[in-house]
Amino acid sequence: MQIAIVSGKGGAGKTIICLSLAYSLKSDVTVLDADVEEPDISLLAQGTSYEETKVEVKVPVVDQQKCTSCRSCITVCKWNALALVPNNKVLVFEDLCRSCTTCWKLCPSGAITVKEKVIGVIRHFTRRNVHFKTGILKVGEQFTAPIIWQLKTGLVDSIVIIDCPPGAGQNIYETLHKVDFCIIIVEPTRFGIFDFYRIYEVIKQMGIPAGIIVNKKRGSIENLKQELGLPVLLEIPFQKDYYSKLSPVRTLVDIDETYYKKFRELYMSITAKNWKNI
Amino acid sequence: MKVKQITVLSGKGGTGKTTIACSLARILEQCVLIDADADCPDVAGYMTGTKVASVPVKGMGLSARITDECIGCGICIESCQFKAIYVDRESHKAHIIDYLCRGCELCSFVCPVDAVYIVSSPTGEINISLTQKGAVISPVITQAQGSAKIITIMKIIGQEICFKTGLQYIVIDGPPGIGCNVIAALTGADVSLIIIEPTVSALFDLKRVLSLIEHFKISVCVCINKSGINQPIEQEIETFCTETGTPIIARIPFNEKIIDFVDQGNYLSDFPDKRITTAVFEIISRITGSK
Repeated sequence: MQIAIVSGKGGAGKTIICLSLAYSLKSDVTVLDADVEEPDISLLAQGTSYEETKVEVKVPVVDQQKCTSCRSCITVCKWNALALVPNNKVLVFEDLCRSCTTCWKLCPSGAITVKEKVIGVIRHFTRRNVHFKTGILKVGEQFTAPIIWQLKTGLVDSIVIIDCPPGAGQNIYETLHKVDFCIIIVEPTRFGIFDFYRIYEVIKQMGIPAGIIVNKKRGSIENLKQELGLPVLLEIPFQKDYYSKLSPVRTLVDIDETYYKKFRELYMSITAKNWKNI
Repeated sequence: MKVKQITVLSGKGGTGKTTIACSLARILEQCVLIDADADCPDVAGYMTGTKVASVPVKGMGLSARITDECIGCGICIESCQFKAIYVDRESHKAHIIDYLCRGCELCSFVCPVDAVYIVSSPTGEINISLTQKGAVISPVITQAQGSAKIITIMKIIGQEICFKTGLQYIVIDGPPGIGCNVIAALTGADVSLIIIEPTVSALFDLKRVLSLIEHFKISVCVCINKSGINQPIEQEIETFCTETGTPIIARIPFNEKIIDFVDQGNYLSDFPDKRITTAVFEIISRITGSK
């Protein structure tokens, strides 16, 4: 069972809810931090031991001796990562390369080879009942997908909970691919509702069942619940002191024991039913 | 006069980028506001104006299609670096997972029976609307592929509007994170304003976004939003900023009433609490005065 925690809007509470849900379960769980640009769960690894694996991608290397300046690599590259410069040399802009390997496979004179380039790392560590894998993009790199793919390989626990990046961009598609259920965190504010509809469209396009957690609830949300049109699995009230009480180190279940039961029931309600894709 | 570009970033999401960027645009008046959070754009629904133009953006991304000629040999699957192709168990033919395909076309080159063709995938449109004293440029995205390019196009349109009308400022409401959309929003900025909230995660994210900005050698300043919600962390942020020489130019105190006030379509600069409006005007005077 793979459950993804998404929200569209940033700061809606994805990370805290993801951790609270994982800790509330009695069995072993894997949590993936797929917000590789700002991997806040990796804060938990600070000051302790963790294993680290590199994430590498293939980037082209041009042998200028063999190169005939035929430009075929430049023509096929969709990311403008290769350019012919004066004195007929082909330059590679590694930052723009998306490692599709087309230039390498199609070079007629065999002048292109590939080398591995590190774009980030994955940290593995264990806390309580949870095996964490957090993907960390190297600052300055732009290509996040290979880190997300590597995060999602070699999973051993039967329950996997994924802390997704904010937004509804390309990295969301890679993260949600083959996920069984999405929990959408909705902040009942103007921007929170705008962004809900964006992420809803993405999940609908991908065909994944989904439910909602309303976070930072203030006042009545009955009308909103009608409007959103998806089952509301849990409501978490807004409390100003949560800003200082909660962090990746201290989650909802740590400051309020009743959340153990609430999240466990939430998990049961997700697994107990045959959900339809939205 | 040279147009000044201010990019609003945060690293962590939900710290107040959009709310603050829109307020800045409203006060600055002579300003083009660009919504560079292309994947989840909120500005157009908040800062409404008269729509004057809509520019369709086509073919920003490509996507492969497979014909009935496919013999199910699997060569394309091996070649695809984006894991976007699989063989359907029933039909024994290759299928493209559209949302994973990046349009590199390698499958069409390696296919032995010529069963792959490439279509340009729709990406969206760019809307331009006029507000009382400025312009808003915002995207409508139908497919995520190419959102960084849309940001770049919006910035070109923004420059063009400034040159033709004499507007002096471009305010860019950036996306969260540090990835390619952030880089697209940041390129060419004169100053980057980072909105941070006093939480552990926001400080962690600030460090990453600062080291990204350092790559670009763009001058940077910080505004602490929701000030007062967590004193020890706020102190830690202050110490960190002092040590790294990052100026904190304003502190906007937390006030729960702001949430409803903004939900009703109002701007921070009109909020009935002087400490908040003063802080917003302080940002303006610091970023317009600085180089």
